[in-house]
Amino acid sequence: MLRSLLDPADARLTITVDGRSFDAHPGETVAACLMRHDLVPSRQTPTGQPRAPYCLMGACFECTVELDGRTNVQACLTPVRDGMVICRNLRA
Amino acid sequence: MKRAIVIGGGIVGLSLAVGMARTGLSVVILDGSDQEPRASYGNAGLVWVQGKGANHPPYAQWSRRSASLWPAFAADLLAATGIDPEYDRRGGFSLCLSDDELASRAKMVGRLSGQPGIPDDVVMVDPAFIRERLPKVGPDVIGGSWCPADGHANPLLLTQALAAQARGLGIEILRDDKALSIGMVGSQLTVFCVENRYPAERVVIAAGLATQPLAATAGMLVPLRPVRGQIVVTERLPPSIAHATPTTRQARAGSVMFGNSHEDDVVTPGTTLPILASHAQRAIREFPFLASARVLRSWGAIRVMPADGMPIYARSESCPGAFAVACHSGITLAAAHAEIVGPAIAADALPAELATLSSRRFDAALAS
Amino acid sequence: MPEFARVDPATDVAIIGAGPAGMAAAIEARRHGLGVTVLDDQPAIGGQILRGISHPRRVHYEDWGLPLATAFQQCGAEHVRGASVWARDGETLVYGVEGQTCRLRARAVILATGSMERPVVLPGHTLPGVVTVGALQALLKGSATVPSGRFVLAGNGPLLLLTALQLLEAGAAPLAIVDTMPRRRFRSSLRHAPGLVGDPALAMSGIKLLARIRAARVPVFRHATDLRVLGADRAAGLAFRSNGREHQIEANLVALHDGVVPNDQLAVSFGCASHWNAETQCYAMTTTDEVRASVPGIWLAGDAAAISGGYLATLTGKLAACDVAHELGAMTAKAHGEAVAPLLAERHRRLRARRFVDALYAPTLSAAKADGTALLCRCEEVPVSRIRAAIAQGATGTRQVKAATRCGMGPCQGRQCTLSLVSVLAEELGAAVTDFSRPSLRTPGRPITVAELAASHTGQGHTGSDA
Repeated sequence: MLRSLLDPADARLTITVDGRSFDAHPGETVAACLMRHDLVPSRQTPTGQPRAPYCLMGACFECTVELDGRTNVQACLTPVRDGMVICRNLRA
Repeated sequence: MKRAIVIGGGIVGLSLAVGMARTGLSVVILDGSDQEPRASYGNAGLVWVQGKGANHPPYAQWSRRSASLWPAFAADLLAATGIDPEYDRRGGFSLCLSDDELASRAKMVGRLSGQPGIPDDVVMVDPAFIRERLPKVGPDVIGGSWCPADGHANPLLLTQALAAQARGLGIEILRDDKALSIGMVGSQLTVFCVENRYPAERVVIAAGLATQPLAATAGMLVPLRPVRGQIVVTERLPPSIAHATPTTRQARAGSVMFGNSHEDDVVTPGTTLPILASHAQRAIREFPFLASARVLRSWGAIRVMPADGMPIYARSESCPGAFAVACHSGITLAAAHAEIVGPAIAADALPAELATLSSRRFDAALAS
Repeated sequence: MPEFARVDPATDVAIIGAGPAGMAAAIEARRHGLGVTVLDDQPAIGGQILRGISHPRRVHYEDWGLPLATAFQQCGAEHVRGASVWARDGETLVYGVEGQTCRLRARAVILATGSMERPVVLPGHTLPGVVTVGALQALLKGSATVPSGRFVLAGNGPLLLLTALQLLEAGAAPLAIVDTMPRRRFRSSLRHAPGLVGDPALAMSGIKLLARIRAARVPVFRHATDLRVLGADRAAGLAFRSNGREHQIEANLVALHDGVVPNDQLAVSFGCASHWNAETQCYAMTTTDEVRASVPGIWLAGDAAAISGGYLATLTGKLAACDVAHELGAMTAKAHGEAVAPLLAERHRRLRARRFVDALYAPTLSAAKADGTALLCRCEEVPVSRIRAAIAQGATGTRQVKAATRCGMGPCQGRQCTLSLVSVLAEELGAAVTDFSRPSLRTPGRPITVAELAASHTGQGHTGSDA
């Protein structure tokens, strides 16, 4: 649903989402990176409904993911770092 | 039809009103606005017997009596209103984290055991017993007490359900007038409000901390003090804590509420970081998995504490037909208030078993 | 045992937020020799309107933006990025950075937490693939990312038009703009038009914006109503009515917008008083002209207090810093008076011009009229119909509705539902919003872990006894 305006050759970072590797641009947020790779939903509600980043400024708490072992991290406030490990914890 | 006025639309007032209306009285509740401080919205939701009345057997028996009425009371509310007060009676623990806590708990249990008329089911238990029922307790839990009669409910839903039941019974809830005093106009018992005066055959004051001054206008002594309790609430978590403790319970929706603090004579609602942090530190020692749970809110509510901690039931001498009820444990006692006290007041009497919980005990204290 | 908080060196002024208001306040406070620490939850300076300004990529910022950012970076203020403030304990702010709890003691606090988009309530708005228009702007400015497929912008407000233009310039053209401004809104707003002389630049920028959108020939559906997002597991399009006809646009990204409101949760959690502003149909923080909040030691600058835009935020940021400097003895009463008078005058003049903008772009997607199936509370998944049912069953205020429905009890702590809730209450009960108390918010001002709470204070030991 999203594309980067930056040179793909500059996407030199790698993050892991649910065990798979994805490229990332320095400076982009985790939420942007997830959406760029169409990794939505990024979480589920307690009743199992799919949700994805919504406000991208920290106010809606829809984009929370497990990040490097910390739960409920707001992906839209977190810049990507090389080697980050993200779990969406999606139930079937 | 005889008319009754209940002053106060919280859990105590609603329980009594429902009990009175069932006897055929026409009941009107004078309630405050949504904004006013309400202990009904600010309590831990425990339906609890262990530790209650350790120094006063009639109070212990009374709590037991209400807890034993709770299953049918909750089922009736659900059947009548479709609102489930989420009562769970799976037994409760009090968890001890130090030798001192263990010793004082054992002393309390010892005082309770062997009292006449009280089941001998509050017992000290070892960590293995606790871990079997609460697998998520941490290594700091070195023992505790257990009582199978303890449980908990959702106070917000209980309030909703009681209000719905009250409406179903034709009880009218008025919110735009404020009671100032109770008195007699000739031989007519009357509630004097800011806007109107309401004649009634029965008047019950169940207005939380406002009960004391209102009751005084009808010559009843109901000494109360405010106590602030602060509680922390987490996000909804998978079912993890099957048995409530005085510090921690998990609601059916999944949120965990923790913290048990009593700040005497604090009259402003609100929280303080030292107490919230203490709550969190203890919660993590009791249940280490909570460390990574999200805290979404906290509150510090003003609750009612009778001078000696025990419920007060008063009947006016100067204004026949006027009563007052005040207690700290309005949730635990809700069933007894609806099933026993409400009907008794409708019949112009207080139940005999409440003799030592009557406000007369304070007359005696004054006289001596 | 929990780790206890890191204790930062005490400072004179703590500023929360590194947007226009926060940066302007920091620069001004430094000019008076005060020690300044700026705590900001975003990854870089700029707030929303100047997001990405420290590494600008293909986005034009307003003229005052870059000089402000440059001056901020050179002013000597300490800037802590990724810092989420969640409590005030006496004079100490408590915040988290990547799970580490920190305590910062400050003699004065300037809250400059900016704005957020007004929550929108319509069917399907929680589906993946639905974002706010501000989100698209944030993705562009902050992450150099634009929509890649079919997308549509829907709603009302200057930010929608500005974002449409910025996306066009970045090579991402929306399929359409679904404009929800009601008929006759422009005409009814004209009574405020004379105020525009107070800020001719604002009027000009609006006119230019509209002209450039028109020149780009993006299809615009006007006076749209009955919006609903199509799709089961993710957004598949947007359906709506416009000019008497039913329309459906297929899209995999739908961006919604209905104006902006103060991002004031932290101020509310600190106990600062707010009041309902009928003109902007949202709460505004209660402050003095010198932007002091109702709580001693706290000042409120920029959109966090009341929406007035980025440039005015720099004025209130300066006002706050001058008042703090005076309060802390770093500025004489005379110097303070001389510095503040022109700021107040300019602010007054420009605020008059805002009235036209406020009236023109008043909210259009109120939950009060929303379809019953739409989720009013995203977190607890409470549809509008359940709120209406609770009111029909006797709930007369925010606390009772919350108790009956769990509305507002989820992780966003009411940020996304409070305004909708009070508007539904007012509509259903035929009352004014001012008849209802604003839901209270206490510690934490944003969600934290139990471990972070435990680490925030050494505590007072167990104070409990039996229930």
